[in-house]
Amino acid sequence: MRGHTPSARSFIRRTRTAALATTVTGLGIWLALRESLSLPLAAMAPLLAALVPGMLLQLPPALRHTRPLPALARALAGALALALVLALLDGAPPAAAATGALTVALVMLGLGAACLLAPRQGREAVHGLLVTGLAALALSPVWLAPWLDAASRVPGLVNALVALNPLTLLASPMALDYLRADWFYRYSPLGSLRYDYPAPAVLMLGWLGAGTGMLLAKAARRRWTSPKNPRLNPEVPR
Amino acid sequence: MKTITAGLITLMLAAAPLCGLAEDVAVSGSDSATEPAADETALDTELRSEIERAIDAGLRYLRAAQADDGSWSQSVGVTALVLRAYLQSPRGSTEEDGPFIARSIAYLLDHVQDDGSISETNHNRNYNTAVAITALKATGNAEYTPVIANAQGFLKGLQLDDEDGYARSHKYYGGIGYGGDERPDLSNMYMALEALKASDVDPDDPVWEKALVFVSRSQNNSETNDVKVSVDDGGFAYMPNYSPHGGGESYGGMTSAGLLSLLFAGVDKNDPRVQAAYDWIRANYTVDANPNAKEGQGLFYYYNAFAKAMAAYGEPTVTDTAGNTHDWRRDLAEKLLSLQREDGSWINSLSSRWWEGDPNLVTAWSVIALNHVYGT
Repeated sequence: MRGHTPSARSFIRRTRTAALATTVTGLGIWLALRESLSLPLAAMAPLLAALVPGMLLQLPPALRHTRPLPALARALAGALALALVLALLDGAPPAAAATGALTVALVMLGLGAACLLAPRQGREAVHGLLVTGLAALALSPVWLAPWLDAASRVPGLVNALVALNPLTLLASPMALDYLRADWFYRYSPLGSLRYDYPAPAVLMLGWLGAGTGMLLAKAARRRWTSPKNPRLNPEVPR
Repeated sequence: MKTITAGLITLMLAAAPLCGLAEDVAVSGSDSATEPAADETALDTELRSEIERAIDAGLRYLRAAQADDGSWSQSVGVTALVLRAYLQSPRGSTEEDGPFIARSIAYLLDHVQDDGSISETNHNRNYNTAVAITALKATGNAEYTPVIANAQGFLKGLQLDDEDGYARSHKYYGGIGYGGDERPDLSNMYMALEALKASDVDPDDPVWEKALVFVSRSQNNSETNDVKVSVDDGGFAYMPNYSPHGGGESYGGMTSAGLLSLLFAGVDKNDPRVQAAYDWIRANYTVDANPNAKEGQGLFYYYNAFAKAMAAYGEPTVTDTAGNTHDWRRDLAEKLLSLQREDGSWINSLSSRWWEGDPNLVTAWSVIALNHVYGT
C-alpha cells in the first residue's frame, strides 16, 4: 500500500476485509446448502453461496467508493471467481461452472447498476430495497402460491413470473428444473402448472442488457449534469 | 337403384373416417369387433351408445383443435395422449384414417432426441417420452420399433439407483421423476411403467424390481413399507410421506396410479400391497371428486387413472366398506357424460394444476377413460 494516501489505504483495507468476509461466508453457505438442499436446488448451492455474500458484503463498499464503477467491476470479478471455484469444487463440468459463475456476475451487475442510478447518499437504501426485491422475486412462487392457479389462466403470466425470477437465471446453465425441487413443489403449485423456462442465452442477454443499459443511463446522466456540459454552462467552449 | 344407393352408403361409411365425419355417421351402429362379451360389462346398450357418442364428440373436438404442425397444445405429451385416444377408441382409428393421425405421429417423431427421449422441452422428458412410447406402440406400426427401443433405454436411464449415487436404502431409490430433475414421484413413475409395460419390456428386466422399491415406499402401508409413514391407510401418496394436497396423505389419483404401477410391475392381485390399495379405493369410493385431494385439483387425472386401474384390476363392481356395490363403469361414464361441454370437450373449471386448464389434455384423458369404460 506504499504510495497511497491514508484514506486510500483505509479503503483498500476495508475492501480486502470485505473480500475475505465474502469468501469465508460463501464457503460456509456453500457447505451448509449442499448438505441441506436436495437436488436440483443443491446444484445451485455454489452460485447462491457466491451471490448472497457478494450482494450483501461486497456491493455496499463498492457503491460507497468515490470511483464506484471500477469498484463494482472488482466486486463482480470477486463474486464470479468465488462462484467458479465453488462450482468446480462441487463437481460441475467446467463449462457449466463458468456459465453459472457468469450468471452470478450478471445478477450482481444488474443490482449494482440499479443502485448506481440513485444519488450517492441514497444508494444504501436503494441497495437494501433491491436486495429485498430480488429475494421477493426468488420466492415469488411461494408467496404468490394462493393465486397462481388462477393466474395460469392469463396467457403468459406464469411464464413471465418464471422468467423474472433470478433463480431461473442461476438455474439456466445446468437446465435445472428448480420449480419441481422438493421444497418448491411442496410450497408452491407453480411446478404443477404449465410453464417454460426461457432459453439461457435469452435470459443472460436480458440481464446483461438491463445492467449495461442502466450503467449507460448513469453515464449519460453524469455527462448531462456535468459542469463541463456546454448546454448547461454556456461559458464552456463547444 | 337400390343397389346403387346401398353402394353409395357403403362408400360413404368407408370414406367417413378419412374426412372426419365418421363420428356422426356410425354412432348408432355397434362395431362387433369391439363389442365386449355380455359378462364383461354391466353397461346397457343405451349407455354404451351414449358413451360412443361422447367419445365421438370428444374426438371431433380434438380434430378441430389440432395445430398446423400436427400437434395438440404444442406439446409432445398432449399430442401423444390425443393420438392414443384416437387409436384406442371404439372406432379403432389407424394411420390410414387420414393425415391428421399421420401428422401427429410425424410431430412426435420430429421431437425424437439423440438421447432417445421424445420431448419438446427439457423439463418434461420422462412424461413426454413415456406417453409418446405408449402412443407409438398403439399404432401397431413396426417402423417405430427402433424409436421405441431407444426411448425405453432413455426411461430406464432416468431411474435412480446406485449408479446415480442413490443407495437402495434411499427413499428415492428406483424412482423416476419428470426427467432431468432427479426428484422422483409416483405419477411420473406410473407413466414410465405404463410405457414400459405397453412396449413389452422383459418382465425380468431389473427396472421392474427397482421400481417396486420406490412404488412400495410411496404407499402408506406400514406392513409392506420399510420407510416410516405418517399415514397408514393403504393408499398412495405422491412420493414417500408427501402429498401436494397436504402432509403425506393418500389420495385418489395417486392410489389409482400406485395400484396400476404394482400391476404393471407384475405384482399379483392377491399381494398385500395390491389388496391394501384396493381396500383404500373401496373405503374412499367416489366419482364426484378426486378423493382426499384439494377441491377440484387433479380431478381428470383421477378419472383417467381410476378407469385404467379398475379395468386392469378386472372387477366389474366395487363393494365399498359400507357394503354398497358400485358399477364403476356406469358411475364413471355417467359422471364424465355429465361433465362434457357442448363442443364435445372437457375441462377442469376448478383448477388448472397439472395442466387441467387445457381442454385438449383433459378431453384426451376423458376419452381414454371412456375407452376403458367401454372396454376397448
